[in-house]
Amino acid sequence: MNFPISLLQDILFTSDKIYSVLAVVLVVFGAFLFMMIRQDRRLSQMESEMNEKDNPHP
Amino acid sequence: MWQELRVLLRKEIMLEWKQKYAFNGLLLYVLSMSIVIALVFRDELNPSNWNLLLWLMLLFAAINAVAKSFLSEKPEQLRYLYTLARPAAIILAKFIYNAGLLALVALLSLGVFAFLGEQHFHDPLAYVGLVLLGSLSLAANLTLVTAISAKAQNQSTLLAVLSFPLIVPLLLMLVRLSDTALTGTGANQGEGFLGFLLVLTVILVGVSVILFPFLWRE
Amino acid sequence: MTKQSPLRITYKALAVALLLYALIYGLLAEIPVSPQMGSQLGQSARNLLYHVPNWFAMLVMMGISLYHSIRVLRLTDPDREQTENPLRADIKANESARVGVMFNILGLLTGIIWARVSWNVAKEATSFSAWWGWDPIQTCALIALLIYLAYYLLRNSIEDPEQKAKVSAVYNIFAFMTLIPLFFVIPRILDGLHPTADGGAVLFKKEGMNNLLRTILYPGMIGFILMGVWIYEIRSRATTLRFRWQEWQSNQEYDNSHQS
Repeated sequence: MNFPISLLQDILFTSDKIYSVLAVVLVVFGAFLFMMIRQDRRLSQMESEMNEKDNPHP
Repeated sequence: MWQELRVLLRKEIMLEWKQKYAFNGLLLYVLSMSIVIALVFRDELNPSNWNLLLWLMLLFAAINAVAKSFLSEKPEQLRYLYTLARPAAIILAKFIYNAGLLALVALLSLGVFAFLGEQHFHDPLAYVGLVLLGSLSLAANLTLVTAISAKAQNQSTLLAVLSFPLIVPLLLMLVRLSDTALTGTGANQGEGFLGFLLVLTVILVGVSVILFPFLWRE
Repeated sequence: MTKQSPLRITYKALAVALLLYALIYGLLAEIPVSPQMGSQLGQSARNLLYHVPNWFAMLVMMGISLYHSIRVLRLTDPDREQTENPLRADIKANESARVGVMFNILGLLTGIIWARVSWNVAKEATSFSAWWGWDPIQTCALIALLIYLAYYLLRNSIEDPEQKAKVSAVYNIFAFMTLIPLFFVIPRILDGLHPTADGGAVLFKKEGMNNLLRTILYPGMIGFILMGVWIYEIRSRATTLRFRWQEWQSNQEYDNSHQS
């Protein structure tokens, strides 16, 4: 049994399957990016709230 | 500075002389390990494996020998010491003492090991030099790591965990170089890496001297 | 809501763009499978684009960690003016080392898979050596991982935060010094399967490495590094926020107890 080799050969040497690999990779990357951007925005919001708390306006 | 170093070194040696059990324990460890290895392998040990076993034995001897430099002293004792001397002098003295102790143990164990294993050395002088250099760089690496692990809880476990990955690169280089000195084969760019090992040791000692003052200050 | 500075937005956008380029073009481009490239490598040579950048990103993250560790020591120095809380620098050193460890693990995983299909094809999939060949660089990468795992063990075994910051900074600086021989010197002493400057496999030497791969590799590498910086930024901001919140809370309690 040569598991990863046969799989890779199957994917990479048959012409169309590389597109499905690319699709999977891009979906995963997109999900990752979505998470990153959401976290980033949430953090910015929480940081500004924290700034308010630290230096409250009179 | 020299004055401080001399006094501190004298203190280490006198402490060792007063309680000889640590040094004697090391000697006993080296002797029993050599006998066990000689017994188990008899004539089947080829030079490369013999070399590897010697370095492994030296590694554990080194960790045991250096472990007591900071771990055996009580915090109050250390605090008192810090009021007397500069931190750079303390770490340098510890390093010099550890290096000397390790070199002594390493030479003795090399003698016992070579006698029991009936080794033929291709280049005996280079081999002894490498063993000495090895004990120097092991001491350089281990002295600061013991000082670090003395600051934490469960110190002796931590010492092994912290020092092992840091020492492996050194040990890899030493084993490869001394293998060349022992068998006379596979000599490629030996001098260059010898020089690198020396430079690395000097860098490690320098970094230890710079970093130690930050460590003891509370 | 506060606006992000244009520099921050630019580098994040650049990270995404470069990574997308490396992913799409790296998978779709026709790479020549010449005998120079080594016959057993074949199409799996593409993994170069996703394996090598991890290591450079790891080194950059460890470099950032080193920088912040040095800052911790400078900030705890009583002879100097304390411009910032050293614990905040410690958070940054800690989080960047964490992202570095993540890249280290990713590099090991991509390396394991690549080794399986290029070096150890003939071996049975169930045997250990089919996946892990104790190649010198592989071993050194594993040791680097162990060094930083030991760093976290050290952090866990010290209670006092200030002491923890200082001691782990010292260990981090010392550990970085041994990272240099691990990645740049030992692979040259011990011959292995990885391509090095003088010895080992000749897969990616000047004449062997394809220009196309180069044009994807270097932008992708920058993309990996920038993405690492982004992850590190998010993590350290989150931890800093938690730290600030705890500080604020204790200040409140202090104020309340003094008013009553």
